[in-house]
Amino acid sequence: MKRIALAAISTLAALVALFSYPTSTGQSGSVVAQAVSSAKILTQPGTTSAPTTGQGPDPAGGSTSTGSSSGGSGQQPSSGSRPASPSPSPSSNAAPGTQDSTTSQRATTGSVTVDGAAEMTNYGAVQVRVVITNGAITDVIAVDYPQQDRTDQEINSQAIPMLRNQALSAQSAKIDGVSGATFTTEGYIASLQSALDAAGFGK
Amino acid sequence: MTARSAVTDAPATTPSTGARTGGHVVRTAMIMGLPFSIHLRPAVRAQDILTDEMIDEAVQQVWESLRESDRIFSTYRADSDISRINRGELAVADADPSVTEVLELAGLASRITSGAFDVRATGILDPSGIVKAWAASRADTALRALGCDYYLNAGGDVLLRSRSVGRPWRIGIEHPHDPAGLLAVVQASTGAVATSGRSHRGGHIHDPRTGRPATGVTQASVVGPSLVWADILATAVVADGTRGLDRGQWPPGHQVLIVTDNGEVLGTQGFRDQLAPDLPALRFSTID
Repeated sequence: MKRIALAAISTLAALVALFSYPTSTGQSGSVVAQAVSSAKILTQPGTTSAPTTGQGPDPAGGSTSTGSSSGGSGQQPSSGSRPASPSPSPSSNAAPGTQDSTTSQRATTGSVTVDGAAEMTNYGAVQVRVVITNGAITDVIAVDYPQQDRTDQEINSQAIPMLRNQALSAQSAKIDGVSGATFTTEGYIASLQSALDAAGFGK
Repeated sequence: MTARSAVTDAPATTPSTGARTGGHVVRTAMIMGLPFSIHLRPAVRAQDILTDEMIDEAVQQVWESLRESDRIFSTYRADSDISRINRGELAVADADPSVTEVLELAGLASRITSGAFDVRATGILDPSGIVKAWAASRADTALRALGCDYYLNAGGDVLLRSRSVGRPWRIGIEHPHDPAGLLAVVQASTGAVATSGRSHRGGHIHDPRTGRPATGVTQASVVGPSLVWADILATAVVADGTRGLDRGQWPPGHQVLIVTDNGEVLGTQGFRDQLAPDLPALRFSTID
């Protein structure tokens, strides 16, 4: 239900956000890679995780892999029984990159718009669009989310903007650490804190 | 919240050489089944004075202090004081003095939270819910002695101290639906940020008065001067739902931000005041 929707939105963003952290230390690669590969499960169409993982520890690879990996994972609107509105992005600040151009583009500079696969939930389809500019997320938009009845609208009118805020801040927040509820061993591997710890620091 | 693996005193995830990036030092270790990390930010002048050996020694003292607490309090270790007390082999009065200290604290916590926090809720004595923060607060003495900015992340509960003017620590609050995302970012120079929740494991906090998983609050974060109290209060709010927001008896200076089960975000004005001002403001309803 909406939880899945939230997860889909923020995970897509987090996937990119994780790669924008400096990974200057040699041993950082493994933890970052694990965090991302678990994020991939939620993002779902994870065909590009292998090359992505390889680029993780490369200090210069941050923005490059961000552009290409997200582009890759967002390419396949294959899931969802409901056809994912294959509309080209009408977003105002989205650059020329529509779905077609993104597919073949290895964007390292400029602005790229990536539509995530539409995820079918109990309450309807959910689809997220991410705008990446120079390797950093500059916008996350829910292009499709359940709004059949009033309850859904109430939930979404709060949840969607809230998530949008956090998705943006995760890559630009310059955080030193993360406070979280269940940093058990396995949760920690997938957490942002593990990426911070591995990278040395967030800034 | 509680330690989950029987014996997880594994070696540090990061080699003991650790990372030192741009003057920052990061060390991590798994203790009590939880990840701990130490972050040091030596001031420019302190950087020349603080040797790697001094830092190593302080970090090792922290880990050793945490392991000592685990040896006393772990319910997973048959030979811990707590296990022996639960088997009737050891009287509290004969146990390590820290047991009495923790139990007194737990009693106070139970009164302040109207019973929402109870170390005997499961029928046996299990102070795991308080020990992590208590142990972290005790272990940071060695870091304080280094004289530089630091924070200690104890399995998601953060103890921080910064002397550098204009350089507060920035701590993200984990998003309840996504361990890699953030709900908000708070700034603080000194104090604590603790988060409790039921996000990753359904209902692991129980209302001790009903024995059932609490409903109502998915996640609660508390910022305040004390890590122990921040952790206790965050746990109690999750256990008690929005009822736990009666802050009349809370120790002063603790602010709360919660996400309810139906997606609402509520928080105190004091919490709002601690949000990082340079980021898009988190929208939430203010509670008294």
